Amino acid sequence: METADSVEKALERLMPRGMSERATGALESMIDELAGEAPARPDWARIGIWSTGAVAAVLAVFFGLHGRAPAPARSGGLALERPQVELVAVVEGVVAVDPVEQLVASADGGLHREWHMQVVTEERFHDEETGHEIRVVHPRDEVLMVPVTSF
Amino acid sequence: MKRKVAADWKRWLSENGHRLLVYARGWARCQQDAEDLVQEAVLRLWNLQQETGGGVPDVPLALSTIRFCGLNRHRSDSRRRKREESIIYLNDFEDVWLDPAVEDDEEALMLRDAVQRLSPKLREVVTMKVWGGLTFAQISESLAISPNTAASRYRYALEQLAQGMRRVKEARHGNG
Repeated sequence: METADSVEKALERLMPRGMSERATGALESMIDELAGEAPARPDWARIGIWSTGAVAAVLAVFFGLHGRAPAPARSGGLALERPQVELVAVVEGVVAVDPVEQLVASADGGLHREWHMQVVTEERFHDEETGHEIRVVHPRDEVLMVPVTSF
Repeated sequence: MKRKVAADWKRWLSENGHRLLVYARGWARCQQDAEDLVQEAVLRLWNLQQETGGGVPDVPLALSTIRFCGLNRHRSDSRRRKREESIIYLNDFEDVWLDPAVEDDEEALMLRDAVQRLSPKLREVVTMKVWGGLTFAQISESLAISPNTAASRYRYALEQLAQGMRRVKEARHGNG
């Protein structure tokens, strides 16, 4: 096995193992599931074409009967199936907490300390078409009033 | 109709599963990860094929999809790991590559190790050509490179493997 040709022949003999039973079973179940679901999924492009066609036919009959020309059709009726972007997780976290030194008196005479909090809500989406993970971060400030019971 | 489509896909997987798996190994750290990658790719392929009638895909498209899924995983893994650590990919070959029918197991082991030491670009072409059964034209489409580049990478990889094997043998004879 010292030349490129002999290496190539040796490589061909090193055939890889097939899928494990676990993986084969999982794949077959997935295919069965997909095949079962596929017809139930609405084909929006086709529905759009048929809907547009049906509307056009009705308009043609209507305006044909009344002898008026129909308005030009717009192509917006062709509703294409949009790629699915799925919400995977929503995570909320406190980024920073700062107490305000000065105390605040409430209407009933109780004292409170203001805590300024920076809170972030992060939404994670998965784009099925591209495989990208999209993170949408919503930062906000919150004020928390905590009663002061000891000095 | 549903049954026929499912049966076609299952047959296609039983014929080509090992090709998909060995290619997926290049993007995964272990057999199980590679199988998961194949499953992810098959799901994508299924959705993709629905636009053209739902038939089974061809192997080059399947390998491209595995590559796409592997790249996505690799990118997200890279955020957490150092680049050097990714070099250990493909190291866990023990129970995957060896065919028990191989006459000279020792040479097969040496060759397997030499394949592991190839650069990812060369190893990818070797995997597609030898175990994927793709032509250079198909490899060039999958990897978005010219057929000449695919062929020269393949030749270069074979030469490197042959050279590596010669070195190992010489070292053994020297020691013996």
